[in-house]
Amino acid sequence: MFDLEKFITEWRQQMLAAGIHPTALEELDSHLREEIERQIQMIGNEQRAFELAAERVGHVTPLTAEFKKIETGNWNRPFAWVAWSMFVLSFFLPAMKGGWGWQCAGLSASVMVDFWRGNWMDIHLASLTLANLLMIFSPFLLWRWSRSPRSLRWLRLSFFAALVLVWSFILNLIAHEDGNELMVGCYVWGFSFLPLCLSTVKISKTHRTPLQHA
Amino acid sequence: MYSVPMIRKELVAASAEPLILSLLAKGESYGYAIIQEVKQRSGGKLQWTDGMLYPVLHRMERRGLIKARWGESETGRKRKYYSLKKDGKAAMTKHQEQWSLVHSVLAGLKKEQYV
Repeated sequence: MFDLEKFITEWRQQMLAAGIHPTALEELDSHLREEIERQIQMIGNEQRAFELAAERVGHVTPLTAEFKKIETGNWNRPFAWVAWSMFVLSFFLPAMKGGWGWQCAGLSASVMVDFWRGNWMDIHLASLTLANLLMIFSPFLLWRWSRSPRSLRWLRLSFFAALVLVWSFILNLIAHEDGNELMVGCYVWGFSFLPLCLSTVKISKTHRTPLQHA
Repeated sequence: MYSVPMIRKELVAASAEPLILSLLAKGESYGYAIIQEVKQRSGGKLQWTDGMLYPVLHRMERRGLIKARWGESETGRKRKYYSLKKDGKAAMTKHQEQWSLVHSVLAGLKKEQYV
């Protein structure tokens, strides 16, 4: 005798194994059951009803591919990881004469603590910690917020602001004749914000609505 | 008897978002009901692969056009209901204007052919 629940369980396992998210699967499961009920009313045969309903829901491979496209979001991953790698690398390079990248970052963070204590001097140096924090959490921020165009715009704006902040600091140092104090780590750090900005610009491909598979 | 042929895949794909938005403008709904209503209103000529509706809905949700909530059907089964957000209403108006424009151009050209 045909065991409908057993077949539905197998169908679910197939979907999960292919990588369909459990939440999306609940929705598809609900859809499948409604279609099975409708088919049973029409043709009366449970097994055939299941087969027709599963066919209508669609094949697992294109379905998984479409769901995966949504999960990737709209950020440019190579640029984001290049930015992050450059940033991390800059910590372990000499940034100024007598100072490594991580020491300069630490200096900025300590100035920021002073700033919160009411010392408004060196606000520019302190604000670099905000840019650094933005960079540190950028992969997470992009992963989480790049799916909606509105939040992606905010991210783009924030990254651009960080780029302007960082380069105004570097150029200010150069202009005030501290330029020859700057070393490779400082430039690697500064340039890492450029790919960060570019990571919010997804190279556009012709968008294909998944229903096109219909 | 003359019958309208099945609508081309490209047109089905392009019309998905405006149709979903317009259906949700009437009130919240869920995937299965959306598909059934589209099928019924098109006389079965607009056929979607049912499962493929959900990535479209999820994408629209991520874009902030629609919002979703889990609820229950009359029989107690879990169901995800979708409804329109403010940005979705604006997107729907834009879609409708564009489709109306295409329609009016086509209608004008068709009229000229019979003059």
